[in-house]
Amino acid sequence: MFAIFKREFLSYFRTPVGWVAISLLGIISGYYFSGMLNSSLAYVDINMEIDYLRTFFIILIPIITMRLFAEEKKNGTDVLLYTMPYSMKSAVIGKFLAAMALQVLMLVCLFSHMIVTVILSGYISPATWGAILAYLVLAALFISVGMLTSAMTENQIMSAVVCFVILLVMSMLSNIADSISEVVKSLLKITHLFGLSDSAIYSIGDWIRNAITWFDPYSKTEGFTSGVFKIVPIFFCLSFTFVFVFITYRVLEKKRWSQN
Amino acid sequence: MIEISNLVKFYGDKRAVNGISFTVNQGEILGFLGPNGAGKSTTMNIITGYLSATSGKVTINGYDILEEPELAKKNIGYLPEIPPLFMDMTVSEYLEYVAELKKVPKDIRKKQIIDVMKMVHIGNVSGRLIHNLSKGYKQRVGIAQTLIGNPEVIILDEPTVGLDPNQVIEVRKLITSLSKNHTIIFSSHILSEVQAICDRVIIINNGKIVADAPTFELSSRVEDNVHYLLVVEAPFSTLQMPLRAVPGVNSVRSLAEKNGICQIDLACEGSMEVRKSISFAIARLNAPILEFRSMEPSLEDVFTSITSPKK
Amino acid sequence: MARKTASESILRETPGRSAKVHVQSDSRFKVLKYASVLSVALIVGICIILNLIVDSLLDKPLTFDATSVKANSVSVLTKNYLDSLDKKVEIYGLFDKDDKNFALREYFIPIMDDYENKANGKIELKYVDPDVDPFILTELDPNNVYSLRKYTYVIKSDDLMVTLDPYNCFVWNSNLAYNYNLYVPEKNLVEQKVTGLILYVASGRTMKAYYLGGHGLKGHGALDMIISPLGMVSSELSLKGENVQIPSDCEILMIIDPDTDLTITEKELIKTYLDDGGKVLLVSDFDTDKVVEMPNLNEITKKMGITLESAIIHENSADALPDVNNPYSSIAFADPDYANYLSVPDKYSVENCRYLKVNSDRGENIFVSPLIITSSSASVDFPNTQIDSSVSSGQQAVALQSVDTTNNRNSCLIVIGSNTFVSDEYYSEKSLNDNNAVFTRNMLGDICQIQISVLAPVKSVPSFSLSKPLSSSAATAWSICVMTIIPLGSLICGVYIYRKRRHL
Repeated sequence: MFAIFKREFLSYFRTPVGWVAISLLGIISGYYFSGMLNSSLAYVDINMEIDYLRTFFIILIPIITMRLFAEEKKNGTDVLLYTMPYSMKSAVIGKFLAAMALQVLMLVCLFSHMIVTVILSGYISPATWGAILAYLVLAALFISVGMLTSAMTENQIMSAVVCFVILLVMSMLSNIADSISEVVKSLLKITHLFGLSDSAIYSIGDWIRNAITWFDPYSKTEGFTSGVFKIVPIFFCLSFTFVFVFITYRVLEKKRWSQN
Repeated sequence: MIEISNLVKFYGDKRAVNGISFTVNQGEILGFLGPNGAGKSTTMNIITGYLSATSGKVTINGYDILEEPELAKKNIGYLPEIPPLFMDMTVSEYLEYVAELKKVPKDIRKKQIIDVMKMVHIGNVSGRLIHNLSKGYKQRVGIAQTLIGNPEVIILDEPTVGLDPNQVIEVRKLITSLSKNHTIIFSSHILSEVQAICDRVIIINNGKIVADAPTFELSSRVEDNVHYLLVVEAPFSTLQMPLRAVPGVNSVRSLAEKNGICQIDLACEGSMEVRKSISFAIARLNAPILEFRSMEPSLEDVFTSITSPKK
Repeated sequence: MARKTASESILRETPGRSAKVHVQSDSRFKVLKYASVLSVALIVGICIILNLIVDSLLDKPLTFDATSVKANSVSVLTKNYLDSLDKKVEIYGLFDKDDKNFALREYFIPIMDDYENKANGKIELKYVDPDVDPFILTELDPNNVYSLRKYTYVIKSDDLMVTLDPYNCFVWNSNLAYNYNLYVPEKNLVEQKVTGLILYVASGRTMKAYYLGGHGLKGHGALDMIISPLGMVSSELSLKGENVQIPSDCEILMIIDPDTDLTITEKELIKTYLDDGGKVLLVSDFDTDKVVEMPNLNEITKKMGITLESAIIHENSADALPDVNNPYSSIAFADPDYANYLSVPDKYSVENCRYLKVNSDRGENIFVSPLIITSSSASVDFPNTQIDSSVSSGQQAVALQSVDTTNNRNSCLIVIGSNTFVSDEYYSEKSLNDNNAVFTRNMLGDICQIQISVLAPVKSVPSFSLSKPLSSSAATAWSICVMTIIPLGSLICGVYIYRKRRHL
C-alpha cells in the first residue's frame, strides 16, 4: 500500500497536476477570502469560505482523480499492478490515499486564511473544525467516485468528464429530486392513475423526493458550517467511500476472470 | 517449473489461443516463436496473470496463477511487449518502486537495485528520467525491472523489437547471461534469434503449437531445405532447365526479371556440393553471376518445412 | 529427460475441423465472476441498509452543537421544562427543510431539531412547504384567521396555536441596518421565543377579554376571530348597576365605539382597574353626523396622557387617499419604530379617524407612543368650532399606546381613532387576513404578553467582523498576499521541478 501511495503522491508533484490543483484552489479560495476582507464590514467567516469551496469539488476532484488508473492503462504500466505479488486491494487503497493526501494538502490555502484571520483579530468559530472535517469526508466520497471512473475508462479526459458529470448530478440531487417528484405528481394527477386523492399524490411525491434527497451528500453535510456536528453524515460519506473503493477494486480485479 | 495445460482464450468469437500445453523446466531458455498475432503475447499475459484464460490451467512452481496469484507471481519477472515504464520517474526511482511492489526486504533493496543495474548495464543512467532514455536503454530498464526480487522465471515478450542491430546483440547477450540463474521464456518472430539463444523452441501459429523441439533438432529440420538467392544476367527461361537438372536442387523459382537480369530462388539441400554444381551449371551457360547468397528462411518456410510430412 | 519428451513431441497434428468444438470456459472463472458481482451487490445493499438504520437510530443522539454560544441546542432551562411538559406540541415549519431561500435557516433548523430531540417525542416537528402541499394551510387554519405565511413556524397544542415569524427572534444590529441596509443579528432570541410559545400553547390557558356593554356595543364576531389565535376568549360586561366589578380574570377591557359617555361608576371602576395594572383598548372614531361629547371617557384617557378631541383627521396627501373626493377615508401607516419592534404590516385603511391629542402635561411615568400614523400632510378638521390654529398640517396619530409605569403597575391604554380595525362591517368587506386584522391581533398579543415562566437565555451571535477594521489599503495588501503567495508559490515550484526533472 505504501509503495503505491508514495509513487502516486509524489507523481502529483513530479508532474504539474498537484501544483496546478493547489494553485487553482489557492486562487479560488483567495479570491473569496479577499472578498470578505474587502467587504464593507470586514465580515470574515471561514465557514462561508468552506461552503463556497464545496461547490468546486466538481472541478477539482476530476483533476485529481482522472489519472489514477486511466493513465496506467494507457501507458501499459498497469501490468505491474497485475503481475506483481502485490494485492490489488492495497493498490487501490494506496491510490485513494494518495489523492486524499493531495486534497488535505490543498487545504493549506484554507489554513493560511485562518491564520490571517487570527492575525487580523477575526473570529474563528469552533464550527469551522467540524466544517473542515465534513469537507474532507465529502472529498473522500468524491475521490472514490473519481477513482472508480478512472478505473473504468482508459482515457484520462474521458474519466474526468464522466467524473464531472457524476459529481454534477450528485450536487444537484435535491433539485433533481424536486423535478422528479413534480413530474410524478403531475403525471398521477393528469392520468388519474390508481384514482388517488390529491393529498395521497402529494405524499407520494414527497416520499419520492425524500428518498432521492436521502442520497444527497451535500445536504447531509451542510449543517456543519453552522455548527451542527453530526456523526451520521460522516458515517454516510465514509461508508459510501468504502463502497466505491470496493467497486473500484472489483472493477480492476475483473481482469482475473473476465472472458473478454 | 511452469506447467501450462490446455490453455484456451477467446476474444469474443475469435480464438486467440487454442489449447496450448507445455512445460518449462528449471534453467531452460524457451523460445516462443511465431508470427505477429499468433497468440504469443496472449499466452504470456495469461501465464503472468495479466489476462484470464477462457479455460486451461497455469501453475508456476506449483502455485496456480488463479488460485494463489500472489505466490505464483512472486516467481515471475515479466516484461510485456510495451515495457511498463513510468516516463516521469528516474531509473532508480522506478526500480525502487518495483522493488517495493515485489516486497523486496528493505535492507537488501538498495543493494539489489545496484546489482541489477550492473547486470543490465544501466548504472550510468540511474539518475536519468526514463522519458529521456533511448529505446535500447528503456528496454534494458524493462529487463532490469523483471530481475528485481530475483524471480526464478523471467518472461520476456519480444524484447528485441524496435532495437537497432547493436542493441539487439546487447540484449541477446544479456539474456544469455541471465540464463545461468533463471528460467527464461522469451518470444520472438525471428527464427535466427531464437536459434541463437534458446535451448528449446516452441513455434506457435494461429493459437496452436506447431512445433516444440530442442533448437538443434529444429535447425537440422529447417536445414533440409536451404534457400539461395541467385542473380544472373540471363533470361530465366534459359536458366530454368539446367538448374533443375542439378542434383540436390529441389525447386527453382523466378522472383523477378528485368533488363535481362533475373532473380532466382533456389531451394536445395544444404550441402557444399550443391552450391558448386550450381555455379558450374551457370558457368556452362556463359551467364555472369551477379549475386549468389543463402537466404534466411522465412517463418512461413519454417512452418511449411516443419508441417509438411518428411520425404 | 526433458529434452527427450520435447523431441518426441516435435510434431503435433493440427486438430481437424471436427475437433473445433466450443471450449467450455473454466468454471473457476464463473465462480470468481459471481463472487465479484455478488460481493459488490452485497456491499452496496449492506451499506444502504446500515446507513438507513444508523440514520434513523443514531442521527439525533449523535448530533452535537459545535457553536461557541450553543446556538444550535436548547439550554438546561428549556430542557428541564421540556422534561416536565405534559402535552403534545406540534411545530410546523411552513417551508421545505432544505430550502436555501430561508435566510435564517442556520439559526432555526438545528435548534428546532434539538427541541424535537430533547422532548422525548412530546414535540413533533414537521416541515411542510405550502407551495408544494397547499392543503397544510387549510388543515392548520380552517377559518383562515392566522394568515399563515411561508417561512414561518406554527406552534400548536390542542386548540391553541401561535405563529412565529423568524425575523422577530433577533435583535438586529441597528447601525448596520440603518447605514448599510444589512440585517446582521446581534442577539439570538430564538430559544427564548420558541420556549415561551411552547409554554403558552401547552398551558392551555385562555385569556379573557371583556367588551364593555351598555354603550351601543355592536356585533364583534370579527374581533373575536382576530383574537382567538391569541388564546383569547371574550364576553360582554356591563358595569351599570350596583356592586358591579371588573372581573379579576379580565386580561383586557375593550371599549368599542361607545355612542354614549361612560357613567361615573364606570369611569371610577375603569380608573381603578388601570391603576391596578389593567389594560384597556378604546376604539372611538369621529362621526360628523352625531357628535357626542364624552367627558367621563376623556377623563380616563387624559389620565393616560391622551385627549379624545371632537375633531376629524383630514388627509391631504393624494398618495394616501384611495378616493380623492373623500379626505376622511385614507391610508395610514405603521409607525416605523413600532413596525421594527413588532411585526406588523405597513399600510392600513382608516375612516373617520378621530383626532387624538397627546397631552404635553402628562405625568412623567406615562409613556405615549404612536402605533399608526397618517401621512405627513394630514390636517385636522374641527366641525363644531373654528379651526384650531395650533394644529397645523402634519403627521397625526391614528392609534396610540400609553403605558403608565408608576409603581411598576404597567397599565396600558390603546386608543384607536378608526373603527376599521375592529368593526364587523369593515371585515365583512375585507378578509380576516387584512392588514388591519394583523395589526389588531399582533398589537393585542403584544400588550397581553403571555407571562413567561421559563425565560430561556438570550444568546449573543458571534460577530465575524474583524474587531479591528482594516483600512482599505491594508485590506488590499492582505488580499494581494492571500491571492498570490500560495498559487504563485505553488506554480513556481511546479515549473521549477518540472524543468529540472525534464532534463534529467
